[in-house]
Amino acid sequence: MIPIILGVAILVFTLMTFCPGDPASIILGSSATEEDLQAMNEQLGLNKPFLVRLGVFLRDTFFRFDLGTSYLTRISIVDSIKEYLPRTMILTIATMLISVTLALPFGIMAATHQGRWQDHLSMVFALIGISIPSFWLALLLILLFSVKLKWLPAMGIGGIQYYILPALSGSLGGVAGLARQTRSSMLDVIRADYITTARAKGVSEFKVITRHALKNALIPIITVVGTQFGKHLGGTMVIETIFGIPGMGQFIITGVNQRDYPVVQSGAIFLAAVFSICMLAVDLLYAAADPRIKAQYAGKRRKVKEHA
Amino acid sequence: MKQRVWKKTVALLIAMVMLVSLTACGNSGTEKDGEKPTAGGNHTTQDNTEKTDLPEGQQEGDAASAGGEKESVTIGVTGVWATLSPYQTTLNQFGNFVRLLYDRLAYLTPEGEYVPQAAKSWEIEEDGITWNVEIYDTIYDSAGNHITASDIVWNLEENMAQALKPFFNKIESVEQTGDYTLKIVMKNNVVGAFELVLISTYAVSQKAYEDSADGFATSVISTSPYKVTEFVAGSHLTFEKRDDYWKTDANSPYLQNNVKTVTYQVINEASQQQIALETGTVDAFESLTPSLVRDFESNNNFSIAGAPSSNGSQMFFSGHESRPVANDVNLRLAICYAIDVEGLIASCYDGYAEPMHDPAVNTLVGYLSKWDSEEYYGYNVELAKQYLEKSDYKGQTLELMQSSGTQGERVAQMIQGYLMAIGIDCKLTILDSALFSASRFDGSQYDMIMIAGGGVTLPAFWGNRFDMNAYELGDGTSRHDEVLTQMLYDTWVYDGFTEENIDAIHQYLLENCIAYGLVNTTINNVYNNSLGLTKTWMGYSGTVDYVASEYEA
Repeated sequence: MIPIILGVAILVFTLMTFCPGDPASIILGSSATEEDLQAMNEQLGLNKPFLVRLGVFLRDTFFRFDLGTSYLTRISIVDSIKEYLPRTMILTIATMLISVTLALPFGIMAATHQGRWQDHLSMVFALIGISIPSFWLALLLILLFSVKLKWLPAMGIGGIQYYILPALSGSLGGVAGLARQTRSSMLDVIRADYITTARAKGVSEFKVITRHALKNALIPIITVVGTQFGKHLGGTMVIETIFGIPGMGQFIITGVNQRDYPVVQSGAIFLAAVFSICMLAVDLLYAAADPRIKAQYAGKRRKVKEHA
Repeated sequence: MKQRVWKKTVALLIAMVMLVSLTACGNSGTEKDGEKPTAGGNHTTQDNTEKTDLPEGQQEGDAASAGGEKESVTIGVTGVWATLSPYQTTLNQFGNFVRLLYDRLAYLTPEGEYVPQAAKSWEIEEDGITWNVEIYDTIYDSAGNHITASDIVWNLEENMAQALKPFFNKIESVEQTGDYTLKIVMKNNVVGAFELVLISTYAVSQKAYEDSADGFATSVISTSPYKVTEFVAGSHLTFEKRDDYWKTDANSPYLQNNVKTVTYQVINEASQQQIALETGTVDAFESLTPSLVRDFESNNNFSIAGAPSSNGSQMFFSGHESRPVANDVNLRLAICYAIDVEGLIASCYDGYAEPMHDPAVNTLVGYLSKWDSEEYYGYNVELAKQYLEKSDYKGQTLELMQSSGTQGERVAQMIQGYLMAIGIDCKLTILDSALFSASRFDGSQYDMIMIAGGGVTLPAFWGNRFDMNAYELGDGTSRHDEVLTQMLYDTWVYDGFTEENIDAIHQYLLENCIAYGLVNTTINNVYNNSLGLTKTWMGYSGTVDYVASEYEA
């Protein structure tokens, strides 16, 4: 994890440095003269050599845990992340909850009824879900639930009701992908000998599916869920813009557009860290879901103890 | 059998999706049952002065006798506000909400008048660069801190140190001369430079600012008639009227405070702007997306107050020697006469723009109104072809640089089409705003560049664009025009800021055709008639100041 974050930090810093676009001219606007621009570049430290700036950036970030301040607003990046992250976190959790709650039953139903109408229905739903752009779905949901029925707010932030439509809009693509993955994983295990054995022993079909088949099909599903969670936590710019939610997506994209280097660099490091943590959590969940993986680690520990 | 069931299922699903789409896409107007929107919603184009914009059935109120105080108004706006700091960039310089955060030394009206706010008076010494300012001795902020000249001096020095607004760099020194008096020495006597400092300096208590944990970024100790009660960056900003405001009477109708609670709601997505207005989430919207305005024109529940923007849309020709247009005035004239500005307005601005008559917008201080009635490169294809024949153009590809964005790109595409129609090969270079900002001063990268330029004073605008000593490569397009630069310098000083000198520059620009002012967009402010507005007062940027505006009693 540490090498990944370090690598991302160096890569993003280098890319931003060589990316055309001058932060000083954006900060000062069209009325700035050459003299003003040079003074601003000096104030921001942008006239120093690349390696010196990189060294300062890595030192501040990894040894002083100081992500700096925004060039434009002069607000601490840590404070900004503290403000924006909770909204993105709520949206992500709600989105993932909807995705998992809908996708697993759909996927299981499709697998257990392979080739029948339930399977086709689920897969057509998945196809539609993947094909519908989230911004279009968002607008339809707003028109229906906010304008016509007046059940939910169309935009803004506040209570949990403000996150329902954004979560629904953002989750449909995830539902579709996850349902297809669940179907595929379930089909792999559903014809296995141990499933036949379980059925032969008289175990109820519900228990066969949930305790024997699903548990063994969980590994690829966990991978997809973990990846989606990390991706959503980075911010979903389209959903945040449509619903007026100031979250991580808006924060980072604004930083990119305005060449606000500290925001972009810190945002990228944050995303790398979040994604790495998600992948770590996925690995831990593998062990929880599959006793064979857990046994591998336990076996290794035992061997180390015996050698000692 | 299975196939038939499958087909039926798919057909059913498609039908359901279509039904949901149709239901959701239905008319979402707010008119009551039985009421139909009729043509002829109220639309008034304003000329940046206070004007009445009356919904049907309402009577104009008397400016001197203000009507009732409005309980609350929610205003939709676009943009991203990340900070309330008094030392932010020029991005929101003229936003109406700024006057609700801090009192400035002076307030700039749309007519270009400087109204004293925290400053009581200011006068210039004989040297032309030293200004003596006296502030009111009764200024207190919302935390009870007394504001004195030392706070203003500290504030000016902080602005100079943070250097986020270029005009503070024009100050040589600041000195406190009394409890409520100070002296500001400018580096030179450029017209309007001191006034920019006046309107950009906010009355802030040094103690309050230094005690603040985040430099007023999210929580402000206000010197204005309002205090911030809630701020969420990128979402909303709410103000509540103060009972303990230091100034008892507004000394200008532009500084009236007729609303108790004001909320600014950020809505960047276009369809959400319309929905917010129609569902009553917001009472009004500042500068509504032009493509949505037509819907409200035909809706009697809403009125539209239009005003010219303080930024225009101009095309500047490169002055870099490597470019074909740099020294070929006939080619530049051919290009100007080939462009149908009215066509641009109809196609790209939905009719919400006015043709310009100078590279500068007509809201700038110093702009001569007589230019608006003069001939200015009318659309004339025959004349354009004649100039093209006289030019040295030999089929080279000319590059037109434009910042990315739907409207700007459409303008550039139409210009490309107009030029192709007279036989000029034109290539578009569309850059993202950051890259565009970094490239715009380098005339070697383009033949023509589209800029949205504006500001406050004519000398400042012309100086930024045509002063050959302003940038490393020359003027704003890498041109080295000594004659024009000298003419500019002559108008910069107060003695030379005469109608004759200003007109001479306008004529020089016209004859030499180094820039073409295309259109000045109209800011469309849409508001719900239920607000009961009897008189609207505009802010400098062309948006309605709903706090100063007057309401039914």
